[in-house]
Amino acid sequence: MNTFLLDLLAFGAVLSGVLVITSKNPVISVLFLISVFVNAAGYLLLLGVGFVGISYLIVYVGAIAILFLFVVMMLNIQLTEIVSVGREYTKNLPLGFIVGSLFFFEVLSVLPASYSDAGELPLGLFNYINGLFLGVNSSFTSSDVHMTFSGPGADDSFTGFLQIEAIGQGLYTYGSLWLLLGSIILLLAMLGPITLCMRSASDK
Amino acid sequence: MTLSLVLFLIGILGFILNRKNIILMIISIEIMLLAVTLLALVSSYQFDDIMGQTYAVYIIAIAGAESAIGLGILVAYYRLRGNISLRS
Repeated sequence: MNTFLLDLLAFGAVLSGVLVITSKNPVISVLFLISVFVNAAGYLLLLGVGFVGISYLIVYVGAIAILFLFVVMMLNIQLTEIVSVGREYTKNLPLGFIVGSLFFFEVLSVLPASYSDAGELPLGLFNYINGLFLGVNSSFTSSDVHMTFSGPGADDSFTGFLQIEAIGQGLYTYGSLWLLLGSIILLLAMLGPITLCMRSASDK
Repeated sequence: MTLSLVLFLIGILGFILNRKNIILMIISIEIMLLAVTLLALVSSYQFDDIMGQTYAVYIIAIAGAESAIGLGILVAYYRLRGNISLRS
């Protein structure tokens, strides 16, 4: 039953993604981008990755997509400037076809066949080897690993604090330098648009 | 895994097929970042390792910075040129 909902959310995400890149109006495209983010966040929540799914909703839908919508509605864009029709559109099609085929070729040739399905990693083998060393006859299958990690429902995974505690432990101990680096990048991202807008205002 | 690969392909194709629409190009970059983050998250879920989710938090922060800088450049470009058409 969970798998059906996951497939439904994945299909919704892919369908909304196709509608993002094919719609002519940028406002419609940003609205479908919000739909992609909501579907991906629901996918993650249902999978059991609760905290990052919720922060997807906050960061992407609440900040980034609204920023896009604000910029798109602030700029006075003529649709004839940005919509490429006829020959201008079809001249990009061979490049897209070539890059898409190369992508499929790389994915199908580089990745091993057992890795292409996300639910079938050989976790049972690892557990068997661990059981040999530890002297415990643990016969977990991969589905048991899923159940012990995620919990049965979507709301269990973010009412318990275990996941957030683990992420915070990782962020503030061995990843603290990266956290500082990310904060510096965010500071630059704040200073950059301010500098750009101030310079164009002083030129008048 | 399959979802993230398909979303990444959609991002690449949207980047290539809409060369004239710079807003849609930035949106395609966002979709590609979303696909990469999804791959990291699903892999961390499969391996039962919290490192991927920690990494996803960094990628979300970098994606926010990237979209802010890109849209700032876009607004500055629009003020200079009066349009956002890429073809001169």
